[in-house]
Amino acid sequence: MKRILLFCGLLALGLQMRAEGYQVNLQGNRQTGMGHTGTGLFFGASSMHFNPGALSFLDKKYDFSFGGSAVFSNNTFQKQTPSVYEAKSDNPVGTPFYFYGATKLTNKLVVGLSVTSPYGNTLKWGDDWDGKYLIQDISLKAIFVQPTMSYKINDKLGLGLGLMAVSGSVDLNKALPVHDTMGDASVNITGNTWAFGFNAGVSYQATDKLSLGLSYRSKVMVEMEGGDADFTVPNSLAGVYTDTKFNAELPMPTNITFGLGYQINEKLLLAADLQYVGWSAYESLDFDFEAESVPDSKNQRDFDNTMIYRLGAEYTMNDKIQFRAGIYYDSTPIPEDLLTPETPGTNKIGMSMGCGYQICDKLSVDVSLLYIHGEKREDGYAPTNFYGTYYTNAVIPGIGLNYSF
Amino acid sequence: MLKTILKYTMLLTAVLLWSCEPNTDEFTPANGSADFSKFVAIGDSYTAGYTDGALGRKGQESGFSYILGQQLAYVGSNSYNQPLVQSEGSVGTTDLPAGGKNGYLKLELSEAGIAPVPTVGDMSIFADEIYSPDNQNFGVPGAKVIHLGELPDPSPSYAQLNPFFKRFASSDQATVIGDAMAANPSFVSLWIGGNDVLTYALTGGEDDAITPSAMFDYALSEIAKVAFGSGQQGVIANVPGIDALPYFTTIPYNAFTIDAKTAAVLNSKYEQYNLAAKQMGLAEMVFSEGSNAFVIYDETIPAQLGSRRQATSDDRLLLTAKAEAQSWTATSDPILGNEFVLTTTELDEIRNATNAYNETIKGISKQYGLAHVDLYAIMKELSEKGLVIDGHKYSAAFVSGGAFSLDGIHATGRGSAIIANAFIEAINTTYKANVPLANVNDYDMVEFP
Repeated sequence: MKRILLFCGLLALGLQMRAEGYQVNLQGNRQTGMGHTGTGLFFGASSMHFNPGALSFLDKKYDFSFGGSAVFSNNTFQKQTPSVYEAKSDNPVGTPFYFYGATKLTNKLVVGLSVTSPYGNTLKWGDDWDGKYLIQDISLKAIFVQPTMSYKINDKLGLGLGLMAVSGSVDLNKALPVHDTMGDASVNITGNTWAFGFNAGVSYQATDKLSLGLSYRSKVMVEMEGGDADFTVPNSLAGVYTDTKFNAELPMPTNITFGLGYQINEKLLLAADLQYVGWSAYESLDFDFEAESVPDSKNQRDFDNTMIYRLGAEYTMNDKIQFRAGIYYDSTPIPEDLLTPETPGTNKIGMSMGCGYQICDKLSVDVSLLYIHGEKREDGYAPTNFYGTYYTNAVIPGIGLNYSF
Repeated sequence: MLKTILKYTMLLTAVLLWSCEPNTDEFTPANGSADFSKFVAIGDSYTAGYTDGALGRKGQESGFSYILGQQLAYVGSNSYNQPLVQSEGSVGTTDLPAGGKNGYLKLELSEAGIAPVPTVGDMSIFADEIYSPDNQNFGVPGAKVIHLGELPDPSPSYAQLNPFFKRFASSDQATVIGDAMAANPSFVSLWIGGNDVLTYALTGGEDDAITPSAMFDYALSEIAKVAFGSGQQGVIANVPGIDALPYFTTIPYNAFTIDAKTAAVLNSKYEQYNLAAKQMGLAEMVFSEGSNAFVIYDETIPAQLGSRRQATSDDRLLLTAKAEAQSWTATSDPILGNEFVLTTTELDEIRNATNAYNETIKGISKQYGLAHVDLYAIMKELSEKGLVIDGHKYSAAFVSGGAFSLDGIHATGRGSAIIANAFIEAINTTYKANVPLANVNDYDMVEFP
C-alpha cells in the first residue's frame, strides 16, 4: 500500500502540475500534512479558518493552536530562446503563521479569535536582472484577524460566522528605464491599510463516518490609499519623478470550499476538499500617483477563477502518534500572455506529509512537510513583451502546537 | 510498521531536497550551416561604433558589430578585435570647432532645460597607427559604398581622405575591402549605404550629392563580389529611411513661436510677397501670436519672392535648426537657410534613392544567399509604433526614445543591441543557426545628468 502511494508520489514529480497567484494555504499544520484539507473535518480551533461551522463541535472548554511554516521557494527564469540568459530568484524565507484561540461559552456556542496570513508573496529577482522594469523584488503581506462565533444547532449541524479584519501591506521595487551615471532609476512603493470581509461555514455530520462542510470566505478588496512612492532618479528629472503618494487596490479573492471527511475505521481518516478561488476579481493592478508629473501605471492582470483539488489521509497509530499525507492540484489563475515575474504562477502540485504527537493530555504537536512542484511554464507578459520559461518549486516545513483543556 | 514508514519518509525527503532547485532545460547555441570562426564586419560609422556624435571606446564597446561579435562567440567565433581608440577620449570630426569641442555629446542641465552639448574632442585619435592583421572591424565613419574599394584616379586613396580609416589602414594606399579580405573572414557582415544619402541630407541638401542609384548598384555589386564571391558566408543590411531618424524628425515645422508684435511685423513685411504669391498660385505667408510655420529657404520658389516660403508638415527641419532659431535676435531676418531644411523635393530624392539602394541590397543578398536584415522596416516600426522589448518601449524620440544617441542619427548601446539582434534573427533564419540574442537591457541608453 505504502509502496504504491510512494510510487504515485514520485510519479507525480514528473507529471504536469498547477498554481495560486499570491494565496498561501498554510493555516494549520495538521491540515497541511493532509494536503491542506479540513473543510469537512472537525479539527478544533483551527476550524475558524477552514470552516467556522465546525468550530461549534469543540471538545474541550478551551482550545488554542498556533504554529507556522518556513517557505523556501525557488524561481528560475530562462529567457525566451534564442537566449542564454537565466536568472534565479533569491527569495527570503517566507514565514506564514497562524494562531487560533477558542472557548465554549455554552454547550452550543463557541467563540474564538484567529490570526492568520493566508495571502502573501515574497520574491526577490535582484536589482539588475533582465526583468527589472517589471519587478525587482516584492513583499506582499496580509494578516487576517478573525473574531468568530459558531453555533451548534443539533448534534449533527453547526453554523459559524467570522468577521475578517485584514491588515495588508506591500513593499516593492522596480527599475525605471532612465539612466544616469549610477545606472537605472528606480521606484520603491510601500503602503499598508486595513480592509474587511467575512468567513461563513456550515458543518454537517451526515453519518457516523461521513462529515461534510461548506465554507465561504468573502473577497476582501484591499484599497491602499496614500501609499508612498519614492523615486530614485537622475537629478535633472527630479522635478518630474517627485516622491509622491499613490492609491491602488488589490483583491484577496473569494474562496468557496466544499469538503468531506470519511472515517474508514478507527485508525484511518480520509478527507477531500474542493476549493474554488474567485481570482477573476483581480483585473488590473493600477497605481494612481498623486503628483501630476508622474504618469499613472496601469497593468492588466485579468486573472481567471480557479479550482484546487485536495486529498488527505490521517492514520492514527496509537494514542500518541498520527501520520498524515496529502496531495493537491492547484491550477493557475494567470492567463496566457499575462504572466509576470512578480507573480510567476503556474499549475502546481503539492505533496505533503505530516505527523502529530500527543505530548501530554493537554498538549500536542504537529509537524508537516509540503513540497510544491510548479509545472514549467513558457509564457510571458505581452504588454511589456517579457517572455521566457519559468520554473518554480517550494519546500515548506512547518510546526504547530495545540493546547486544549 | 514504524520503521517502514520512517524509511519511506526519509526516502521521500531525500527526493524532495534533491530536487530543491527546479531542473531546467538548457538552451544550446548552434551555428547551423554557418562558419563563424572568423567574423569580419564592414561598413560605416554604425559598424565602427560611432555614437553621441563621436568615435570613442564607449561606442566601440557597445556598437552593434561588437555586440554581434560577442554573441557569435557562442557559436564558434574565436575573437572580435577592433581598432580601439587608444585614449579615454573621443573625436567626431576632422574640423576643429571652437574650444575643440568635437568629442562626445553629453546632456547638460541648464536654465533652458536639458540639452546635449559637445565635450572636448581628442584629435590625437586620428594619429593612432594601429594597423593589425588581427583586426575584424572595418567600419569607417563617413564611408559611402564607393569608399570601400579603389577610388578612381586622380582621387587620393581613401586612407588619405578619411583619417578614421587611416588610423587602422594597412597602408596609405589600402582599401577598406582589401584590408577586410586580407583578414580571411569566414563570415562577413556588410552594412553600407547610409552615408550615400545621409551626407547630403545632413547639409540640408546644400552640399554633397546623393549617390546615383546606378552608381550605388555598380559599386556595391563590385564590393559584394570581393566580399562574398569566393564562398564567404555573411549578412547584409539595408538602409533605414531618413524619416526614422530623430535628427530629421525632432524639430516641428511649426515650432516658430512669436509674440503678437513680431507676428504683426512679419505680416506687414510679407505683404508684397503675398500679393505676388497669390498671382503665381503659391501659398501666402501668415503669422499670428503663438506657434507658426518657420520661414524656410526653398530654391524652387522664384528669386523675386526671395526663394522662401513657410514650411509645411511635409518638410523636415534638421536638429540644428533649433539652435539657429534660438540665435535670432530682434533685428534678424527669421529664415532657416538651406542647410537647416530638407524640402519635400529633396526628401523625395532621398527616399527614392534609399528605396533603390535597398532593392540592390536585397538583390545581392539573394545572389549570394546571404542573410538579409531589413533595418528599414525595423527603424520604421521603431519610429512609427515603437518597439516594446523586455519591459520598455523604445521609440525614435530624441534623447528620451532610448534607441538613438545624442547625435540623433547613431544608436545608443540599447539601439545597437536591437540592431545586433535583428542581424542575429536574420542569420538564424538563413543559416538555420541558433545564435543567442543579446540582452538589450544589458546596454546603456542616453545618460541623464
